[in-house]
Amino acid sequence: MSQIDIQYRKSELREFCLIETQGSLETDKPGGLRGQQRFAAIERQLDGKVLMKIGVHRVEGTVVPLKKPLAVMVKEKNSKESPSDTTYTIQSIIKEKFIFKLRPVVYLQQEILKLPTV
Amino acid sequence: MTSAQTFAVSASDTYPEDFRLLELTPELAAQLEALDTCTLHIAGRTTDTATLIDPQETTYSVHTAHTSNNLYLLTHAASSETNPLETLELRAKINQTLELQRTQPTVHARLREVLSWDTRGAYRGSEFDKADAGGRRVDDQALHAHVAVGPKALKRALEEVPAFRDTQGHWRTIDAGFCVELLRLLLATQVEHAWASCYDARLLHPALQADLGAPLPYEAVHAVLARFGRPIDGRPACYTIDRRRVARFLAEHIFLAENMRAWPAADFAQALAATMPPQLASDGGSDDGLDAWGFAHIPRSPVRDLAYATVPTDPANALHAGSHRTLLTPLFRSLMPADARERIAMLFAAKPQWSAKEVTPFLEDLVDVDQQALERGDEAVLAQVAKAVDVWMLRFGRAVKCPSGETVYTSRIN
Repeated sequence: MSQIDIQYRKSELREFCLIETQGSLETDKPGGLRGQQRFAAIERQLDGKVLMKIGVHRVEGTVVPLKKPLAVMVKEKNSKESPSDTTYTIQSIIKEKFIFKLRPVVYLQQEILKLPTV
Repeated sequence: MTSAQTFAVSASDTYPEDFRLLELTPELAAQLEALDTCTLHIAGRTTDTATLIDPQETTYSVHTAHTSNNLYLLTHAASSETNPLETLELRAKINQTLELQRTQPTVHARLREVLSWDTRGAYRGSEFDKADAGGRRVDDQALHAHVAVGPKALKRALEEVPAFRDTQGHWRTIDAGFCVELLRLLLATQVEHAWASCYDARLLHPALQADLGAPLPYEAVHAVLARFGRPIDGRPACYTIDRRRVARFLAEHIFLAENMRAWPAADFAQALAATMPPQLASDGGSDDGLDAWGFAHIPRSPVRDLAYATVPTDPANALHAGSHRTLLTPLFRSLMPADARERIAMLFAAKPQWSAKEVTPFLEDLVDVDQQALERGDEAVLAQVAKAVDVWMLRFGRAVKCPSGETVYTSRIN
């Protein structure tokens, strides 16, 4: 038999951000993205648009409210106090996401050649 | 995040972490936000869909949904003096979410299945069997895991089986024959001792044990009273016997004993009257629906969710639709699927046309209302049920006006 408890404590909620992309974030560095610092920047604009910059790439996206909120859960270590086999804790309830559906655009002129855009 | 902001993005030292995303229904999200703390439970066997139970005992089936897009979770990182920009830390990459779909669980069928496990032997290879090969008993924890409903719904279902918990904390069913026999003994004992109409388990138990001359668990006596009676407010272990509940129980077992064959309603009424304990025999003046068995009365009778009525076509006697012409064909609601579409398909397979009064007893348990208020006949609840049933029948069937002006529902498939 299996039983899972999902604990919710409002005082322990944190703020999470959810990003949805059609592609994936990858790097050639050994160890992957783990520990990589400031490899991208996200700019949230006033008109509900977001812009993600990774190196010479720019990808535009939008802020979309979620029809059904998402609860972010993390598995807890087995506690003797809990009668169930497994316990998860809700760390956040997310109500919107940044979705990037367009292809990234390369801004070589600005970044490499330092020339103004035409 | 406020608008017009720029964030730097880093990846945490523990990326990717193991987070799960659970899609909440708007009602569940509102419920969580209104509470400071609560616990949601997920129960189920390896052979079933997992069921989530919220604090209000609403049940949802849990499904995994995969997405071809990538979902990234980020949190705010601790700020530092060297970084002018706020930083978001990449924590996890997720490709699936858990979706919830509200369900009405088939409590009774599942409960009977689990409680009969110790008499039938190994139970289809569930982990429950493997973990407890030595002693095959069903305790509270096993019930909760295998019958994935909230405690109140489980308690009601246990009363209706009926089942009782023995002194070792294990749940046991009462055989139908013994259940009826015990009821007869209870009724006879009550009359013998000239006690009032209130049935007190604490008085009846020692009297029954003395009559039987053999040990009889008190919990069994209490379970039978809870099954066939209604508790009296403020008086623990005291009940009044409900004739309709007894009649329905007996009716169900008449159908089962006769291999689920169809009965002329008049013959069925006679068989039921013969089986009813004499102390509960009808005096003809009661309004509990046990005295009229014509076609129009079946939806209000004790078999309203056990059988449907038809009138065999006979032009010579077309005007006579009394109980001697009405045929009762068993169709147990408790064995039907918990999904409205599947259940309505089953109903149309049994009979091509249904009036609202005929079909409501077979669908009312799927409506999210207080079932006890429904049983009491609360007007508001009845209206809510009627509306919900109409919506389902129009969605999965179609309505047709009869020459008599009554609306009947038929299948969309000709």
